[in-house]
Amino acid sequence: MTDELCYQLEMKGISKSFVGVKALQNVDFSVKAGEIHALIGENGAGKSTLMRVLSGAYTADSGEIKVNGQKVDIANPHDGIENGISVVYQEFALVQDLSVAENIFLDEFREKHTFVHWSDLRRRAKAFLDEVGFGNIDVNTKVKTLSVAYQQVVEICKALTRDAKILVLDEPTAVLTMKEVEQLFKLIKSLKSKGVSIVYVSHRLEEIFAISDRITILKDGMLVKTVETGAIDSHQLVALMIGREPENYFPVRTSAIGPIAFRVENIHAEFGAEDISFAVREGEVLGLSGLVGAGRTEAARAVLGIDKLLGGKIFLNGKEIKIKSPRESFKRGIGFLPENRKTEGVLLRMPIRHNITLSSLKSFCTFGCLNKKRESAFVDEFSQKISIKAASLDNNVESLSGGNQQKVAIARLLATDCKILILDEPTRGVDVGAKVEIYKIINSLAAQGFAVIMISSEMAEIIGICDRAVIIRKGKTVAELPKEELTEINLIRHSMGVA
Amino acid sequence: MVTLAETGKAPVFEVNNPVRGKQKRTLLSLIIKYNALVILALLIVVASAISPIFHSGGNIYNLFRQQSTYMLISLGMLMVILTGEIDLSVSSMAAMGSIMTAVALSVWGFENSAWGMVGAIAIGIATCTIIGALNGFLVAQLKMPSFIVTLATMIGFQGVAYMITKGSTMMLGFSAPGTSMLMSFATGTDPWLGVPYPVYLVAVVVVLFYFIMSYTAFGRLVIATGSNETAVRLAGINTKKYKFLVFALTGLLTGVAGVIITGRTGTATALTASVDYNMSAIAGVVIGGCSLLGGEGSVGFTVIGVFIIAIIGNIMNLVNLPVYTQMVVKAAIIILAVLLKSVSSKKRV
Repeated sequence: MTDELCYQLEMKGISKSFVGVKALQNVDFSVKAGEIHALIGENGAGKSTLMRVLSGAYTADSGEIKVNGQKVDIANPHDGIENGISVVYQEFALVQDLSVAENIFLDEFREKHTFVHWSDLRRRAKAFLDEVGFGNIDVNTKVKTLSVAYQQVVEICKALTRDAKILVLDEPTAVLTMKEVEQLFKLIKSLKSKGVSIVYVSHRLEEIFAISDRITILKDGMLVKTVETGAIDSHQLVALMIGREPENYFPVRTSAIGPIAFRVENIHAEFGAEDISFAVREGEVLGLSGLVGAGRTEAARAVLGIDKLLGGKIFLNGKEIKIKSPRESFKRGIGFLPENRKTEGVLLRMPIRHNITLSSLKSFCTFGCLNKKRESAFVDEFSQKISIKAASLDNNVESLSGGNQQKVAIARLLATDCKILILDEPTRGVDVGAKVEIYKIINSLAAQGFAVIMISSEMAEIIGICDRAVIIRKGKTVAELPKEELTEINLIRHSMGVA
Repeated sequence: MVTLAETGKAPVFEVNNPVRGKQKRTLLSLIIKYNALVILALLIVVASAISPIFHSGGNIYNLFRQQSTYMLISLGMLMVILTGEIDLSVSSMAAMGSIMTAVALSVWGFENSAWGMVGAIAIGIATCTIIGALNGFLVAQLKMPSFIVTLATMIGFQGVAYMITKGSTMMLGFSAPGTSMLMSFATGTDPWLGVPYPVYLVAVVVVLFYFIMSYTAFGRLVIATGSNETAVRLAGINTKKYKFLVFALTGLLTGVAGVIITGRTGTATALTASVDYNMSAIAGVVIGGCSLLGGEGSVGFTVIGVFIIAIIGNIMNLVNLPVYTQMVVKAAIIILAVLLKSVSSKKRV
């Protein structure tokens, strides 16, 4: 191929698997010098894994990486930097209390142990900012006073001090305003003109079309296609992202759907949720779908009194109520399964037994004294019912696998009298077997007349398990889809805002 | 994929950490797990070898009597540490309890009757409970760090104690009926076995707290709060309530200790605030295997921890080691005990 010479980066046949999961299978990915190359795919398609292999955070099981036509070994992030590869992650690695200049040259501080030549440092930092067209940023200000977009500029300059030839931007616009996105694009274009190759990982189709030269689509850890941006439209792109039919491992449910049990209107929360409304009926599983960071969790937490609720109404069985704390929400019969299992869902260093009865301890007490026999009998029976696999129920939860930990967290909810359940990413980080078991539990709950709200970023799950889904984008409810219209294409369209 | 169940090896155990899963009950692991017990046994052997007096009934009872105040305070400290907090103000609280009991008896005239004595005891205990509740309110409701809050109340109430006593020792009228009853309880022994009365009181309190920690929702939720406060709060539990209550409870127990301090000598002084109740209680609880991060610890081992510190002091007194040397030895043994624990749990101290 004649093209081959101008490839700045070539990744060939990259495979990577984690215990039992093939995260990447034989993926080819190449970027030309001075090209802006978009990388897209659903959550879990393998984008992050591929970029981590490139940066050296992971090592590929097989495949080779060439930089400027030379085969290179990237075994750790240091090797990545040596080869001119820099990744700017969503969470910046900036020191908030240091100045812009200090942050840009942070690497130097680690290597040099002599006195700092401050005026020289400032001058060089200014030169970098001028070069990328952001000379207006004062090199002496502390990073924490800068807007997110400017912090990103600083992060990118930091990458440039390492002579980055290949710059990976991971969801760079996720937290930016429209104006900030424009500033970022200006910077990306100026880098492009200097011959830097940019890998642009994003969910936002409109931006991809606005800025990229080529697009690579990943799906289930495999390369779908690499296309010229001009040769494709958004509908074709979405079709490629969905690709083949999802495997159907969702158990069938038939349950009678009753009246509306729980309804929220115009929820406005402190972080991320601006105007979110949804309602769930008895015996129904409602999905809250959308991209990560769309404001679903934030809305749920505000509704349940965990975070501050700035506006909106909550109705339980048609009556307006106020919920000030998680305790009150449980009292009213609304249970919540938090998204972060290990930090918020279970008590890792306490026995499985005590975890399961944590929320329902009162019901095993007479005048505050625990009836341990009754508690034990209950836990024994209950854990069998939802098949928690443990050597002993007296062991600490930390000894369990992720799936079983999650089942413990769910069991804790089910031991209460809650009839309305909000499950936030109930199957995250759980193996396929445990996933199916969790789906079965959800099904049997719906069949018993529970109202279940499931927040999930996995579209297949929303489609497979929900009777209805509400789609949330950028903090707002944008669509509500009945079962018949629950397809990946509809979900992607609404959650990404493609017409 | 062949599941384990099909191969006949039912049931399937999924374990993240193979070491934890296959933990063998070797002698060594038992020693590490029950290190406090081993240390206590060793200390008793050493003590008996060093000094024949150690075994004498007089010395043992004296030891128990001395430890009654430490034990009460340590039980409170255990609860506070279980929730992941700390209380540095117990010495000052004990001084306040002791002084307010004395003030009620001698200044307010409660010393003239048995009921007056009961009233004075109640005032001493209530004073400390209120200070403990203040600590609890600031920590739980206003979310202030307990280290700072109790450091401040430690200094503040030490000052209040000196203000009330004007820096001198308050002497009680030993002949007044109320005072003499209190003193005969605090210093007396039962006529049959010769066990000091305060030891009976402490024994009852220890049993009561063992029951509370093991068999009540309160005890369970105190431990859970220290284990992972966020998760417990999201599980619909009012964690503030439990944090508040453990501080108030520590105040109450310290108040009882304060009353005993006054009764023991018939005097009350602000110098009590400088006695090592803070550090001995914290050290006892930690040597007893409690994690300073919360969520881990037990009443039984705290009792052992308190005795370990007590016996170390006792041995050193019996062999007439100078006071300053005693402090160094105590420090070394505390560090050793905690080191043993950090080695055994590897992850946390």
